[in-house]
Amino acid sequence: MPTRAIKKRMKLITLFFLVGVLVLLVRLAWIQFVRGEEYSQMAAEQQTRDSVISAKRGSIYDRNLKILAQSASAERVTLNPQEIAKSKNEEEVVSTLVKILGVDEQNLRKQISRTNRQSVVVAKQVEKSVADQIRSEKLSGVYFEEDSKRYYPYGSLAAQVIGFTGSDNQGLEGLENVLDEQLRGVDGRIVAAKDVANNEMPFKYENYIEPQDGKGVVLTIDETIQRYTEKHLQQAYEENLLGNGGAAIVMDPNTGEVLAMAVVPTYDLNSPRVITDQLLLEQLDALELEGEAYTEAYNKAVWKMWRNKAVVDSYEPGSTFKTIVASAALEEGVATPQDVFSCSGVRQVANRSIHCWQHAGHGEETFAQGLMNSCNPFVMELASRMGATTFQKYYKAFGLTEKTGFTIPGESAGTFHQKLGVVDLATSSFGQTFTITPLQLISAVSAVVNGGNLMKPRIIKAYTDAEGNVIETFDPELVRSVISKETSVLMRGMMERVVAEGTGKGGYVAGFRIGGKTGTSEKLPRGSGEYIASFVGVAPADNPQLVCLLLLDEPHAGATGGGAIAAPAVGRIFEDVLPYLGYAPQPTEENKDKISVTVPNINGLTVQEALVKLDNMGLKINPKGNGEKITNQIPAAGTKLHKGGVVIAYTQKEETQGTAIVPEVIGMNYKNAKATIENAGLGMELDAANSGTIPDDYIAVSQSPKAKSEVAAGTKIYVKFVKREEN
Amino acid sequence: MTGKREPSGKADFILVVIVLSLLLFGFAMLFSASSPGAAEGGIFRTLIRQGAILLMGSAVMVFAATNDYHMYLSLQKLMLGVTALVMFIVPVVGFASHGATRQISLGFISFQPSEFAKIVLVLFYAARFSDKRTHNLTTDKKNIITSFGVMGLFCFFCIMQSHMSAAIMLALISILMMLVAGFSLKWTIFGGLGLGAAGSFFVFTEEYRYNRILALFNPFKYKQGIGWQIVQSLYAVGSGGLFGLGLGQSRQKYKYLPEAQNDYIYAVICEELGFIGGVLVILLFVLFVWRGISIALNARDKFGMYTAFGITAIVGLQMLINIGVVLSVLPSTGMQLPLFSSGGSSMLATMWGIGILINISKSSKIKKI
Repeated sequence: MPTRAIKKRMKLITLFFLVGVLVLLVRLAWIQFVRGEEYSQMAAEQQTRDSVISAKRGSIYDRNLKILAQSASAERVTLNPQEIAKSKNEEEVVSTLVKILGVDEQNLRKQISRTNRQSVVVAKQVEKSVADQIRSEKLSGVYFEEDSKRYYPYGSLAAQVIGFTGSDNQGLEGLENVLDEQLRGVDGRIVAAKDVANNEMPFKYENYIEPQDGKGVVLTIDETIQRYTEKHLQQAYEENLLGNGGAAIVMDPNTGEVLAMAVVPTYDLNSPRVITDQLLLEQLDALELEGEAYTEAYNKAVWKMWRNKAVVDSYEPGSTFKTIVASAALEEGVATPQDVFSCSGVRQVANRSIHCWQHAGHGEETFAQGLMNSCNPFVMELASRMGATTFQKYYKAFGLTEKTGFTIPGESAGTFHQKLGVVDLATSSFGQTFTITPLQLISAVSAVVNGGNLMKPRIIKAYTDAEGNVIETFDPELVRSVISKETSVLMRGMMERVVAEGTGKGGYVAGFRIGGKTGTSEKLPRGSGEYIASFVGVAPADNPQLVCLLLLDEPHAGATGGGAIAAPAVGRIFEDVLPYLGYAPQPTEENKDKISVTVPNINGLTVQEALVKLDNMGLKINPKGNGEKITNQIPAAGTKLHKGGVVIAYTQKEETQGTAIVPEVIGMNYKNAKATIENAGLGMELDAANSGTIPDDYIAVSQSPKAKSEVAAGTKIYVKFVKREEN
Repeated sequence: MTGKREPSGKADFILVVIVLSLLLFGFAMLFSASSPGAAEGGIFRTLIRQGAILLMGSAVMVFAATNDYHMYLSLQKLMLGVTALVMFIVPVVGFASHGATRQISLGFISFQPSEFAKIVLVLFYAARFSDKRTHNLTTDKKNIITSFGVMGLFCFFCIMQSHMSAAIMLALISILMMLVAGFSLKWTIFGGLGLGAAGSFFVFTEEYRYNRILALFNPFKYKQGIGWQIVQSLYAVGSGGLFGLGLGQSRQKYKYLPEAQNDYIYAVICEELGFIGGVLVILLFVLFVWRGISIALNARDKFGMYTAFGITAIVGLQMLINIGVVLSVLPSTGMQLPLFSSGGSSMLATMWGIGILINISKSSKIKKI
């Protein structure tokens, strides 16, 4: 072939080469200029890892800045299935994680098998110490991320108020839920360049957004008052075998601040899905369910115990509502305290005969006596005198037609009559045929006794920054003035008489001026035999600082009356809370023996020193033995003893080993039995059948050891009390 | 043959400048592209290794440039035989790398005979086609059969090593040599079709090859699997824009791009230096091809002409295919970018070839400066 032809072919091939080059250039320009934006964005997406820097969730404090809820750092355990597949250590990973974390093995294996993913979460909110345990195993493919966990130092305290968070630290219940936005803060972000294996690349991205930690929330709740309230509500709950739980609210009537809000049955905020309440567990067991049906019932019970009954559940208030009707009547001038009313036990309204709870009737009664007797015809008379329009005006003015605006999710406003006929008016006057929430009632009663001002009930006192410095405080909010100061003062006096002489005697606390009103409402449908017993107490009655509403839903231990079971519980709350707030009991001639004081610790003191100490508190000393210092005391420090009571002081251990003759206490009530036993140099313990405070109408039916037996001094005598049989 | 005469002229300075530019550019980019991996093995190890390869390559290039290329006329048959033998035994004694046995270890350096086979084949065809005893290439059936036979044999060896890209390369070079030598278009097209049929047979019998073609048309659908490297390459090139992210600033080289320092070094260049850098690389190769073809066209004899053409074609074709793969114009193969990609055998073979080209340029009648 001639060279010329060869050269021609070479040139031709070169031309093809140049065409190929042209294709490449066009393609290069296409990728870089036409698709460049899109590709570079997609590339950036894969090259950067958006890591969230979690904002620290704010703490929840009581009014004295005791921490009720706080977040602590924890860790999140994650796996890289691809890496585990590569390093073939599945068995090791599974056995270690199952052992240390207690995760489900089957589920874990399923997660490991998802090899198309680079990261799966195995466990959240793992405590540092546990994470360290896993870390020390040095498993490849197992990673740790920052997480945080919520702790509730007081466990079940104010559980339904505070609520709890979920596995992602999101608020699920209570204030944790409703204040989630404030508590949560704003998460920060950091954008980091990461290579395929998730290692950092040496490029700087300016994208750093600092997290804003959540605000702290200071509640109006006082931890101590809350604790006392819960203690006595719990006792009432157990004693009365409540079928549907109970609730109690303690409010400062002058500011509307909720000092305590307790609900039973309750639960531990640190493990909200576990029922620990014995009564509730027994109720569940009684259903005799198994498998899924049991789980369903269990979960239902869990949801129910999360409910804040004091705010969410509305009920017929019953006679406690009479305070509202009475103050409206006085304010409107349709009745005066001097008026005399008459109760025959029944009142004819339209074509219906409506009975008084006391069918025999109360006869002639003054205004105050009508309230003391909780007389139905009395309040029906008041209601009919003011008429439906005025009644409804006050009903509305006391805030009973609307939600209070309280910071708890799911607050209800109850149901009420839009148009009130005469029969409805009559029944409404004693708290039936409409429903309100406990919170609405306590707010209204607070207005009755605080000088007539309806205050907005509040649970949030202030917000703090992450360091706990107060940054925003909330002042009391007056909703409206409902009644005059004069009417309010009159009502205080009459409510005090309810406790002193009327149906509310159970709420009496020696040495204090307590006012109140009982309530017992039969639940719907009528005739169900289920009641809600309630009591609203005011203390001190002459200068109200505390209003306490306590209600017991479906008592099953016999007594169902608010005066019989709710009032004593409120009394016990006041008895604890008033001294805590600095109110000293005022002794009078008649009550001086009833005022109880807390026995101090006299161990280590000389008899003389103990004598002075006890005398100052109105207690007597009964020294035993002839040693220098007191080594033991009965009753123990911290127990309650009425004024004038005796504390036995043992000055030498050996002396306590002396013998004593067991006295006979059968037939005695609690106080007498205790005094008799202690005077004999022995201690009294309750039999296992008894718990809590033994009411006065209980008597001792058995004791162990038996009377007249000789025992070592200081021996505990077990005594069983039962309610006195009434003939 | 025109007899052995010492080439009198000087080497083509322009070609040398182009080659040095490519080598320097390549070395810098290789250094950048392998810097992420160097964190594990030490950055100096990469430097020393590539420096040693360049040094060896330079020695080979200088040797080839200073020794008359006509010596290959007598050596080519021996070289062909040795290469064929080595390629035959590679699957037996070679060691597996990347799932295919295509390398042979010489103790200190592993060496890929197929890289040298390209140059050896070019020399073989050049010697054969320039032999004056072969009067009519296009009609001499023995010649045709021998030409295709050698090609087929080498392709077969490559396929035995599962080295499709080398097989394709050797076949293309052989066909180009035959084409310029005047083989009838009919014959060549026939051979090409046969090759294509054989090729598709291999494509469709090996799932991964079929998948590579599938991935080419819809890489994003297979992003997590077979489309991965295509997508990553597009990301890299697309991120570059006009001026690129700056030298050393490639993100994609952080193991997003498989073989960033090897098959996909061009993607790193485009990402770091943008369109400007990408075009510059192509332009340098075009200049190289221009010089190489000019040397061939003006070569003193047919052997020099064929050899110069063949060597130029090797470099040009490899560039086209490598960049074509990076820009996802072609399905991915294991083609390296000459003078840029890491890998000793490719570099040594290419520099040997360029040395021969420089030697040819000495007696070529092209305009030199």
